[in-house]
Amino acid sequence: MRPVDWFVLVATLVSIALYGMWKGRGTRSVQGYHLADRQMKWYVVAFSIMATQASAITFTSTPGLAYVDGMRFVQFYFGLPLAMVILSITAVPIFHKLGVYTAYEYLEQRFDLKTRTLTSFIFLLQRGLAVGITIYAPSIILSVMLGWDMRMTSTVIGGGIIAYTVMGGVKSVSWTHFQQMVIILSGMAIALVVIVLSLPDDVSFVDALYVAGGLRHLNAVDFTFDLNDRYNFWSGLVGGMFVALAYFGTDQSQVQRYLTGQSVTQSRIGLLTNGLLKVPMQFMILFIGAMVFVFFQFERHPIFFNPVGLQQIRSSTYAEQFEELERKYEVALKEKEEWMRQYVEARRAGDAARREDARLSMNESQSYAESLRAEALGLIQQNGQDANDTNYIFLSFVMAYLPLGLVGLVFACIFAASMSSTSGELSALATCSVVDIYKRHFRKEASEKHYMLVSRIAMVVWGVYAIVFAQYATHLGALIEAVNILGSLFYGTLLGIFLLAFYVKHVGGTATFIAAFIGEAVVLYCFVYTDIAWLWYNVIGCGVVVGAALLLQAFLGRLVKSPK
Amino acid sequence: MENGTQHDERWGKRYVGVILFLLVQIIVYYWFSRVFS
Repeated sequence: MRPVDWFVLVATLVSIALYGMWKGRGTRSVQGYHLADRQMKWYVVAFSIMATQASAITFTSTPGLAYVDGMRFVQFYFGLPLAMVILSITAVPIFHKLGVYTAYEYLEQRFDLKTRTLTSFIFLLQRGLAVGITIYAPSIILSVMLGWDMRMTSTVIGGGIIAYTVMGGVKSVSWTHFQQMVIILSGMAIALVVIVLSLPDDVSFVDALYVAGGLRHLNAVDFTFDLNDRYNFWSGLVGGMFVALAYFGTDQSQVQRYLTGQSVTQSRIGLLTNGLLKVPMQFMILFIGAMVFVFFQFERHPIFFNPVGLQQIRSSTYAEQFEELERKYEVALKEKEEWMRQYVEARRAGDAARREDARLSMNESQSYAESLRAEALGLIQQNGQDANDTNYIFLSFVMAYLPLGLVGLVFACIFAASMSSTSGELSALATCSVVDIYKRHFRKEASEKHYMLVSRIAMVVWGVYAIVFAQYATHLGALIEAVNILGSLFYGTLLGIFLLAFYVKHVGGTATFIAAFIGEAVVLYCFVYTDIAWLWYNVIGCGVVVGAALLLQAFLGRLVKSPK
Repeated sequence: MENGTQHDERWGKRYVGVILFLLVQIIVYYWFSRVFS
């Protein structure tokens, strides 16, 4: 990066930390620290919700996903707006009316203490594991791209967040989320315009769309129903809705965002705005990936995008085989480019037969190039390296082709995204630890000053833990993947518990508590022994918990009645 | 001051608006998938 880019990056990060500290100044009450005094307007609530969900990986991996697999990932978000409507009708008024600090606090009022403790424990476990990865995953990518030491990257991200979250609590978090989303959205929109302008002179934007479409990279919607297919319309609409219901309705890192709303109306509009903006935002990020794909069809690019990984394989025992594949790949790309130019010319001339002929040949060349890439990735794997390079595709483009200043801005966006999701998670972990565990189980009566001190300590402890986890995560290797998956296995169970709480009034705490374990066991069975796509786990887990709780309640009801 | 029914109607319209916007997007994205391939 050049000095101007460094300036843009550093200035953005410093401005985020300073803005957070300034906005959070004078926070002295527990309600102020954990719920921003419930004074947030809808636009802050909406951007805070979006910023918590959007991690750095969203902006590095999603364009890479579109490069490799096309735009079908957008379907994953189709259920989200429906979930926002359902939560606005059900969860928001209940949480506001009861004045709870956490979603799990409501479960004690509705069921009992053991159900509240179980759910807050599940949250602390899954978010506690995830928060380390939220810093680790972008740190490793940014370290490779910027040549920084991994420890330095995670310390910059984590240290910046701790500075403002410890001081101002959720008020700082919400306002910096607003600022971070403005930076992220404007940065990505500018990047999209520049990518389109960077296309070769003889390839127009419309040509680029036809090339991407012709090579099956604009496949945004697929109505085919297949339980084992991760992303299609049905899994996105039904599975995606359950994921969104669980994430936004039962995960404290999201519930806390709309609990900060000034009123039921402000929280509801915040959630609905998220429902309106989320799908177009994901579409835009995927579209950036599709355009980077087209750009690289007319430009020399490596067979593997991780620069450090590329050096490693080139100096390994597989070097000769790898270089041979690289040579073949380059020839295949040239041939593909030739067919693409013929495709573009035939389309412009309106020659349907020639166009179809060129399209078929272009796809054949693409399949051949993909098979060579797959062979290369196989060699990389055999060499004991991580063969997944989707996170590096967009950043390789950014580093090599974006103009002065914009490189710094895109990296600032990615740092900002990492800070936004981590700060949302940290504040929720601190709130849950203090309100659901410390205050409920260890020190029920104490002064406001005492709880403020404990809250600040909890924020520092979780922040330092996240940084340390990120720095040592490299040693966990493949476990990281397992930890990541593990976190997503609890959502169905949590959602089932909350659905029972909201809608099935006759089911009590004990039936729900036992049903939660049954539901989790079924989800784990599906995960280990079946090929069912993970989006469906939430539907299954939720269904089993609700069904088992209803049966258990009927059984327990009889047991209670029988002695009479 | 609006009464309860007016209040519910207003929220009902907002919810339908969000769902309609999703529907329009799905149609546009589907068209987008088909027209350029």
